[in-house]
Amino acid sequence: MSLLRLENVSKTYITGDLRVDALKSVNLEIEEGYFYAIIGKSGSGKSTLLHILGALDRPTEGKLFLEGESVFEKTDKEITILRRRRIGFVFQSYNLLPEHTVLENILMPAHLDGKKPDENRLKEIISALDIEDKLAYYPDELSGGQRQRVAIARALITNPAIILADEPTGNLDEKTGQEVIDLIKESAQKFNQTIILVTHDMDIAKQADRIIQIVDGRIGN
Amino acid sequence: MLRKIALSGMKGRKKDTFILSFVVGLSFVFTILATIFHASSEGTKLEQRTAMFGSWDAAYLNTNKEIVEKIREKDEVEKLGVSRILGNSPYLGVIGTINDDLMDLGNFTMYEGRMPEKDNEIALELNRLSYFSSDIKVGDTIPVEIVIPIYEREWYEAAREQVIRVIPEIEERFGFKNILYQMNNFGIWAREYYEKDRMGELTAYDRYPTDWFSYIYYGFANSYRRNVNSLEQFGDTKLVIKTSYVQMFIPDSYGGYRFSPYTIPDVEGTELPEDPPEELTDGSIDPKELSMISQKGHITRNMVVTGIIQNYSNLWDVGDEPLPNAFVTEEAGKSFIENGFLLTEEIDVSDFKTYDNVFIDSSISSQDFYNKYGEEFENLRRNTYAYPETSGSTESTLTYGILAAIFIATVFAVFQIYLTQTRRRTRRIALLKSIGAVNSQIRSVLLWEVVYLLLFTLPISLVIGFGLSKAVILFVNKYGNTVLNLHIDYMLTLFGIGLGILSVFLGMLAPMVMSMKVPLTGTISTPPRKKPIIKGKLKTKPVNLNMKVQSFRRISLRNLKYNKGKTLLTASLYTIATAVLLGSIFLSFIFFGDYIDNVIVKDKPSYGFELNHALTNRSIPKLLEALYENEGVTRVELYKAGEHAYLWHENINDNEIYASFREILPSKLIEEHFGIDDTKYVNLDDDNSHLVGDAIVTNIYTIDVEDPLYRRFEDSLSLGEMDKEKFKTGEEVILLLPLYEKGEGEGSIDEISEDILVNTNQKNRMEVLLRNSNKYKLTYDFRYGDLYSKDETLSVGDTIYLTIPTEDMAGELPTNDVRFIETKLAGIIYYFPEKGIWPFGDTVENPVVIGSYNFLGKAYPATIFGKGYLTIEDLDYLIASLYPHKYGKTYAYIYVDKDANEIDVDVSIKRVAREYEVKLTNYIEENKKIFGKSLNMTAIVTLLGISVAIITLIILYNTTLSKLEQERERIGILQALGVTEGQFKGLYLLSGIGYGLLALIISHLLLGLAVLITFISGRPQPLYLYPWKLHVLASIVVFIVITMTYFMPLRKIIRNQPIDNIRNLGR
Ligand SMILES: Nc1ncnc2c1ncn2[C@@H]1O[C@H](COP(=O)(O)OP(=O)(O)O)[C@@H](O)[C@H]1O
Ligand SMILES: [Mg+2]
Repeated sequence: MSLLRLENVSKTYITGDLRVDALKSVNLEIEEGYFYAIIGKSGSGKSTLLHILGALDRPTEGKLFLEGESVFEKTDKEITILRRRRIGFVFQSYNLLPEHTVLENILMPAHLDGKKPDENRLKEIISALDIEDKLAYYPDELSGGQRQRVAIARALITNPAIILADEPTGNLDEKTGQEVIDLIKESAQKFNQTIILVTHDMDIAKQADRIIQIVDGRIGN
Repeated sequence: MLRKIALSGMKGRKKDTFILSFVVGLSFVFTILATIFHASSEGTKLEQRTAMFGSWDAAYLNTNKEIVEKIREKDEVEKLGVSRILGNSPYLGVIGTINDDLMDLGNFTMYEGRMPEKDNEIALELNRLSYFSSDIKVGDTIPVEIVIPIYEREWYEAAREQVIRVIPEIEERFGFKNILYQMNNFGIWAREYYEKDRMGELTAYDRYPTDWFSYIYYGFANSYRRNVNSLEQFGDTKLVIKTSYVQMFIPDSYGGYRFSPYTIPDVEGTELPEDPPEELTDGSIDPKELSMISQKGHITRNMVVTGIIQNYSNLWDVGDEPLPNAFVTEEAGKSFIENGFLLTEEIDVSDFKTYDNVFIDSSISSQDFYNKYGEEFENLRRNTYAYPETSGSTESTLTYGILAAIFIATVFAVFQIYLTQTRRRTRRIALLKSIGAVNSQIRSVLLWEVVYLLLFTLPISLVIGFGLSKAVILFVNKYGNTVLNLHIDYMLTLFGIGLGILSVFLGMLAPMVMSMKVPLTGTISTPPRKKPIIKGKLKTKPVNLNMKVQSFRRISLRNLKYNKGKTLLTASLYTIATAVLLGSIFLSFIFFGDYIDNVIVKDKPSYGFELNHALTNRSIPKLLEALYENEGVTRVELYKAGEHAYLWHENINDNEIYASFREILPSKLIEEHFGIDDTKYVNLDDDNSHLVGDAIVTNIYTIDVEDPLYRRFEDSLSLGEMDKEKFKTGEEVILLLPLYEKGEGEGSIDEISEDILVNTNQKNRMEVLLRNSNKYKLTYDFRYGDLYSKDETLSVGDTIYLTIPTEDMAGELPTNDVRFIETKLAGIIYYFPEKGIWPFGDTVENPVVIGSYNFLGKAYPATIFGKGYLTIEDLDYLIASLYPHKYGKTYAYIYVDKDANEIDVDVSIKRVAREYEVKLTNYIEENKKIFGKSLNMTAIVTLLGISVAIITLIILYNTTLSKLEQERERIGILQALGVTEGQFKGLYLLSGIGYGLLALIISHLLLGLAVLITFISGRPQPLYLYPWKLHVLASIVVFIVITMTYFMPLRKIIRNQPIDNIRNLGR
């Protein structure tokens, strides 16, 4: 059984008179433990797809199954908890909380679940992301790349089953970008995590087990 | 160009522009409303005052032609109303002339008809109508008689002159007044008179003076004199000169009255011998030697009544000077005096002068005119009734308070709305900058925005403001029973609008400066942040990786702290709204307090009647019938009263209130309130001397058991029960014993100033003095029922001993006997539930005996017979000289329907009052004044409350919305990180509750401060009377509204998908 499955998912945005079909009847299966890369042109619907896979957004039509269970038929609370425990999300625009330090931001998903993450795991993540000396800083005091790394750390801290990352390396130099990918991959192996990563970088996409191409809201080859 | 950018920018932010215009417009509307309402209220008051008290600025009364001309020459004098006082008329009162200017300045309201125009016309004041037995209508011809006093003196001076002339030796030996005094008081030189029946029992006994001296002794100036009259005719004017002399003759029957020693002061002289001097026994006087008491000219003319003027003469600010009650033309004045009186050949009138009253309308203010000419014209007086000094009135203070409140609210609102726009604006400004706009250009774009905003809102606000003012005034007139005319004080309104414009600019200032600091890269996702908290501290320390779990609550708290400014702004807005609302209740309470206390709680009537004797049971229904004849009269409460009774009971010496009162009572007044031990009453012996010696003086009010008033007392009983039969026979009475609260006062007699004492009387003195010396507060007000103590020296079933001086005569001499009455206490009233019973709630007497008419008959037998054959004047005389309490009193309190025709009721009640010769008190004007004032104040306060509350609410709405909008991203992130809906709801509910509580607490602290200030300023408010229920209700409502306004908008947001929230401002 696949981990995640999209069934006829469509997403339509309507703003005023404008109607955008961001996803058009998408069917997709995500198997456990694989590394997926989603590629496509800007505006082709990559982020939208990722958001729906992470239950951050509801599709206009169609269903999302997690381990065979239909996600959007659950209550909001159940969906929230599911998100909290099973999904780590790295946003394109970081989305850190400015009033909290880097460390606090990283620990937040775990803390919100009332848990204390393993200290060794934390050390491992922050050293891999090279943000050990930035823990007491506030997000506003960091560069874009540093913020991105904090966002990734936050996504990894709870060891979620699924890691969704929306262009996580977009703001990083090549070397750090590769390090980040390595870390994610390493983490995925260690914890049997599934990775779905949106990227522009074909070098990175090539490292994936599978590549999903999106063209104009549809899955291509 | 810049203008266009501003305009298109505003159009782009439609919603914000709308809210901003709405708030600004609203503040203009309320400013206009407040200023117009204030001006209308002041203007109407001025109108009413000038209508009632005349619009003249100053007056010079009782002056002569010379001064009138001098005044006329002054530059500032615009109009000069002149009224020549012609004299007195028995029915019409003072008659004077009127000129055109006076007609203008007097603002006379015609009840009917018009002012006189021709020389045979006259207009009368309304109150004179009740002096005529038949109805007088406009168009009637009536004889107008003017009495001009030519000579006048006290009758006994004339009598004395006569005695000196005829028997100078006797006068010299004993002194005239002394002779009168001794004969009067000790019956010296009196003749005895007996009447016995067939069995030899004495049925009548009297003593009166012998011989011719008795003429003086009995001689009442008016009754015993000789009149000499002459008649002359000048055209249609008749002149009679009436001269009266002291004349001596023996009356056929005994019917005269004694001379009261009170009217002849300075009695000194040797004691008279037992027998009258020889010279007196057969004296007789040559009529030619009569001495003159008075001489008067009576001029009579038939005149046509052209109009009836609303009463004014008792209203104007002229002190005790009489004003004309009837007006004739200046022509008519001449025909009375120059072509009438002065032509007499009977007497020499070459010295005769008439006097003029002049009323001045000046081009400067009343005060200024007075200040300028007060020295030159010694008796100049200004019209302080029509033009009082109002600058410091509470209403003006309030109006400025409202303007200030609106001002602050607007500054806040504009500031806040601009602040929330900043984010959206930054991008635009950055864009402008990036295409090369310099700061000054951006500033003018922003300024143009303000100008457009004002151009857009002002005209609409003006229209709405004026319209609403009109509507509010109509509303107040309709429901407030008042007449408010629309007045506009353009300066004030303009000032308010100026203030409004200023507030918009001020509110924009800070956001303007802020948005100017926008960097070129306008794409920043967050507005420029302040430095993060505790920055350096954390960084220098090694970071503890094993940090404590941060709960959602703590995370949220951090957010509050991080946004300190906004948190503070929100909290202060909530607090302002709450404080203003609760403050409005508090202020309204203070303003309506007077009316509630004085009129409602005390059940104040419209009129009061006081009669110097107790009416007989037969004549009471007639009086009531006469009163009820006018349909406006809804209720009459009548008491027959007996006054100055000594009340004693077993525990009276335990009563500390009486003891305290006695301590602070000046010794000359003790006898009015306490029995004293010197046994002046002959039938008091050692066994019963305490009945007077230890007694408190009280008044007995009695009621008809069949009257609804009986039920009112019965329903008011705090203790006991009334048995109608026993009450009726007088076996039982009830008592009013006021609630009391002991104060801290140590006051003694010296501390009670003369000013306070002067305004007290037997009835209110105990309450007033105890209150002013801070020893006891006494009241019958139910609102103190649970707060004050009750007098427990008496209980139901106790025997009450009343001891009453009989005020009988033994022959010529008053006896010093007392009458003993014992009765049972059936019930006690400590306070009146809900409504007081007038006048007891007002004049707090302690104690008051309430009994039946029969009971009064037992205690004061003379009250059974009423005034008998005596006239009211006779009675007044007897009461003043000999029998102060014998005849009792009648009090009637008349309640008039609010909607009844006031003038009708007034005329009819005055007519009854005249018929019964009662002392009439009109409470209506007083009540109305208090009510009107309270209502106006409350209207203003309500306006304040509503305007500020609405503005604040809009700000709050906008704040919460924009705050949430800004928080949406954060909420989205937290949603994505796994914060559930329930957690969000809980947090916002809690925060809302927190804000609510904070607002309530701070508002109450502020209110407490206000209360403290009223205490410090020496005007403490009776807080236990405060409408706490309303206050608590308002607090709860405010609390719920705050919590809800904070909580409700969240629901919409958390229903969004997390990504929608996150993306909200990101793109
Ligand atoms: N919230 C939204 N409202 C309206 N249109 C949107 C929204 N989010 C995305 N779109 C549109 O949907 C399409 C797909 O967007 P997105 O998934 O963000 O593309 P990508 O991530 O591949 O660049 C685009 O045309 C975009 O403009
Ligand atoms: Mg994208």
